[in-house]
Amino acid sequence: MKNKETIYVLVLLFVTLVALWGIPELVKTATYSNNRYPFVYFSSTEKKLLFKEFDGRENALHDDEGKVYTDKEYDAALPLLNFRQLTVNGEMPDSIDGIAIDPRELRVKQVNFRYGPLNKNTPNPGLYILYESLPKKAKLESPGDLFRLKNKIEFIDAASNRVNKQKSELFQTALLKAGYTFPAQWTSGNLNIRKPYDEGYFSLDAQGQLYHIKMVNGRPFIKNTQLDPQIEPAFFAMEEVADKRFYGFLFDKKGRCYILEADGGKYKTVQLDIDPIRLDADELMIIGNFLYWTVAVQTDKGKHFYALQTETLKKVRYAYIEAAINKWDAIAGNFFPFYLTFKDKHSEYIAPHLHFTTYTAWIANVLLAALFLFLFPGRAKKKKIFDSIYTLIFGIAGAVALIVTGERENKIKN
Amino acid sequence: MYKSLLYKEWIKTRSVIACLAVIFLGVGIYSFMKISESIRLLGIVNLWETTIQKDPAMFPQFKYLPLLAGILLAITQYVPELQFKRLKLTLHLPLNENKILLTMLLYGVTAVLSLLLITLPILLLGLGQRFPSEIVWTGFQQLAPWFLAGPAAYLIAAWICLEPQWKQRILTVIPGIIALSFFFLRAKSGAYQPFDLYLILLVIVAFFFAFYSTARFKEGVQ
Amino acid sequence: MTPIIQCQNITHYYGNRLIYKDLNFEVQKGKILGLLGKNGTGKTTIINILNGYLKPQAGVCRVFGEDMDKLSPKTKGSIGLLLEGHIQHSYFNVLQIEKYYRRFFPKWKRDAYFGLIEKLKVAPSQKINTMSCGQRSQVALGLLFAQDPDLLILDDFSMGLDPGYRRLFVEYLKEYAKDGNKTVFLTSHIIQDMELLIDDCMILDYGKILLHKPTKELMAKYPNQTLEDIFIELTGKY
Repeated sequence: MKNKETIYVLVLLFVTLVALWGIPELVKTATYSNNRYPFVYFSSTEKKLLFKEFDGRENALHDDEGKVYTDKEYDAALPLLNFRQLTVNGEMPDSIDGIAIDPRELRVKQVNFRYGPLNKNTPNPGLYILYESLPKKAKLESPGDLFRLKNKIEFIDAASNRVNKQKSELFQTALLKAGYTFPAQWTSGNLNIRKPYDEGYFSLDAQGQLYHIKMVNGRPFIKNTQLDPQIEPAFFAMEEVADKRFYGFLFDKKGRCYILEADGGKYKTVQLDIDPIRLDADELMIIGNFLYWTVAVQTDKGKHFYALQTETLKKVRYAYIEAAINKWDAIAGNFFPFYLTFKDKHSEYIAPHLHFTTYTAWIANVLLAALFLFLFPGRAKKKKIFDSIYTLIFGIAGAVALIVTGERENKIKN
Repeated sequence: MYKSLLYKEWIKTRSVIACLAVIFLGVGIYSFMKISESIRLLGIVNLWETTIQKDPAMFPQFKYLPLLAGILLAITQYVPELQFKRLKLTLHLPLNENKILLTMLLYGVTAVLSLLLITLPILLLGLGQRFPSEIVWTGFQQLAPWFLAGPAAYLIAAWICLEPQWKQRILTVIPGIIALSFFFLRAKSGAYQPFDLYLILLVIVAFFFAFYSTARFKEGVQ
Repeated sequence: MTPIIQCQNITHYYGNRLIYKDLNFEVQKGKILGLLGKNGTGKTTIINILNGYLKPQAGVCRVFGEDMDKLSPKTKGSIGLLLEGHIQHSYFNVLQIEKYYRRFFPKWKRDAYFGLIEKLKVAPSQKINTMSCGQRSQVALGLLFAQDPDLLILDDFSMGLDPGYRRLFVEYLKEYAKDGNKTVFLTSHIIQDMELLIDDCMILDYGKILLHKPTKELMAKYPNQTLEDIFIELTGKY
C-alpha cells in the first residue's frame, strides 16, 4: 500500500508522545515525594521563628538562631498556638507583653488562610449565590436563586429556571448607578452557606475598579472600593473572618498581598510586609493570632517565613529554607532531557506542557542512540541510522516507541 | 461500489448499532431519572447550589459509554475481516485499497459520531429544562472528553484489530490504552477546555493508524 | 503474447528458513495450471504472493503485466480469488452476498450464481455461516463464476468437499475455461481431481520448482500411471 513509510513515522511519533508522558508519569508516581518543610510558627514570647522538623530528625525543635528546645519548652514558647494544652495544664500565661489574653479574642482573631495558583487558575462556572447579609434569623438562608455577572447581572430563579426580571433589574440599575462598567472581569466571594456571616462579593469591572456587591434587606448594596490606583487587583479571596476586621485578601498584578479592611463606610488596604509573590507559581500560607501572623511563601526554590505584627502587618522576623532536591527531579535530570505532562501543579486546567530538565540528561540519549546503532543486528543500514537519530532526539521514550512499533523485525511468515 | 461496501459494513454492524442505540437510550433515561430523583430529594434550589459548590458530574453514567461503543463497533467491523483473513477478499475488490479502508473507517466513525451527536443535544436540552445555561455548559464540558473518547476508541481499536500479528497487536494495546486515558484524566469541570482541541487532533491522527496495520497485512506480516 | 502470470527470481524466507530461491515461472493465457507440492513446500505462499498479500524478500511477480503488490482496481476486478477453505463474508445470507458483490463487477452473471445456489436447496435468508462446508464452497464458487474473471486463482479448491461436490466443481471449471480466454491457477490436495482438469502441471519441492510441464506430456512419459503416482515418484513418499 502507498505511504506506508509516512504512516509508520506518524505511528512512531504518536507512540513516542504517549511514552513521553507515560514513562515519566510512571517513574514520578514511584519516586515523587513532597518537599517536607518544617512547621514554622512565630513565638510571641521568644520573638523568634520556631521550627518543628519532621522525618524524625535530631533536634527536631529549634528556633531560627539554632537554639534547641525540649517539647515542654517548645509548647511554652508558643502559648498562642498551644493554649488549649497549656490551659489544661494550668500553664497558660495571663498576659504577653503586658497584653491580657482574652480567650474570646484569641479565638476570633485567629486567621487561617492559604493561597495557591490553583485557586486562581481554575475553571469557574460563572454562577454565584447572593445571601442576605442582614438575615432575620441567626443563620444564613438560601435565596433560592443564583446570579450570573458578565455582561449584565441576572438572577435565575431555581424553581422556574427563569430570570427573575425584577430582582435582576434592581441590581443592574444599582450597579450602573454605582459606576460599574460591564463586562465584569471577575467576581469573587464565598459560596459556603455555613460561613458565620455574609459580605457578598468583590467584583472587578471592565475598567479595573473593584466593587463590593452584597444584598442588605433584599436591596442591592454596591460600592466602588476606590482602591489606590497603584494597586491593580489580580485576585481576591473572600474570608469572612470571625472578628470582621477585614473582608479578605487582595493580590495585585505585581504579586503584592493586602488585606481589604472596612474603614468607616470606606475601604482600606493594608499591605502585608512580605516580598511580592508570583501568583501563578508560589503558595502562600498564613496562620495568625491576635499578636502575630506567621506567613509562609513556598516557591520552587525554597520557602520564606515571615512573622508580621497583627496590628500593622509589619515584618518582625524572617527566615528562609532552601528546597531539598526531590528524588523525582534527580531522576528526571539524569534520564529525561524533556518530558510531557498534561497537568501542571500551578493550574487546574489540562494542557500539554513540555518540561526541559538538564543538559546532562542528553548523555542518556547519546548512550541509547549508540546502543541502537550497534545492537539489534540484521537491520538495514538506513534503518539503523534512523533508529539511532530517533533515540538521540527522543531518548527513552523514542527507544520504547521503536520497540513497541516493532518495525525492526522484518520476519514474514505465512 | 462504495455503496456496496457500506452495505457490507451495515450488515455486520446493524445489530450492534441497534443494541448501542437501545443502551444509550436506556442510560439516557436512567440519567434523567437520577437527576429528577436528586431534585425530589434535595430540592432544586439545594441542587443548584450543590452543583456550583461541589462540581459533581451531571451524567456520570455516560463516562465510559462512548468508549465502549467505539471499541464494540470496531470489533464488530474488523474482527470478522481478520478472521480467516477475509480482509483479503475486501482488499481484492476492484477499488483502491486505501479508499476501501477509508470507506470502512468513515462508516464506523460516522456511526459512532451519529450515536453521540444525537445523544449529546438530548442530554443537554434535557438538563436545560431545570438548570441554567452555565450548568448546561458545564455538563457539556464534562461530556466533551468522554464523547471524544468514542471515535478515538473506535479508531484505536480498529488499529489494533487490523494489526495482523498477535505479538504486535498486544504491544499496540499499551499505547492505545494510555492514549485513551488522556480522555479520562481527573479534572474539574471545564479544566479540559484547553485540551479538547488536542484530543480532537488525536482523533484525526488516529485515523491513519489503521492504514499502517492494513499495509502490514498486505505485506503478509504474521 | 505476454503471459498472464509472470514470476521472476522469487526468493523468500520465513525467518531463517528458505522457502524458495530464484523461483521463475510463467502461466500463459487460456491454461489451467495445477500447482502440486507436499505440505510445507510453499503452495499457499505462492498464491499469497500472486494476489499481492505477501511481499517476497526478492523478486517480482506480474499479473496481467502489473506488479502484484500494486494491482490496479481494474486488474483486481479481472482476477477471481478463492481463499483456502472457501472463505467468504459468511455474515451475509445468499441474497445479500450477491447484492454486495454485484455492484463491483460490470460483467456480473447473476444466473451463474443463482444456478449454483438453486442446487443447494437453502432458504434465501439463511446465513452463510450456518451452512455446511460444501454449501459454503458452492456459494464461494458461484460468486466467482458470476464475477466472470479472466484469471481464477484457487487455493485448495477441493478442501473439505465430498466427491460429488468435487466432481461438480471440476465440471464447472472445465466449462468455464473451455473457450480458451480464461486462465486458472489452482492448488489442491487431491491430485485425482487435477488429472481431469489441468493443462499444465507444476510440482514444487522444498526451495525450488521440480517440474513445470504440460500434463499430457507428463502422462505420456509415465504411461499407465496416474498423476498421483507420478507425483509420489517424483517427490518421494514422505
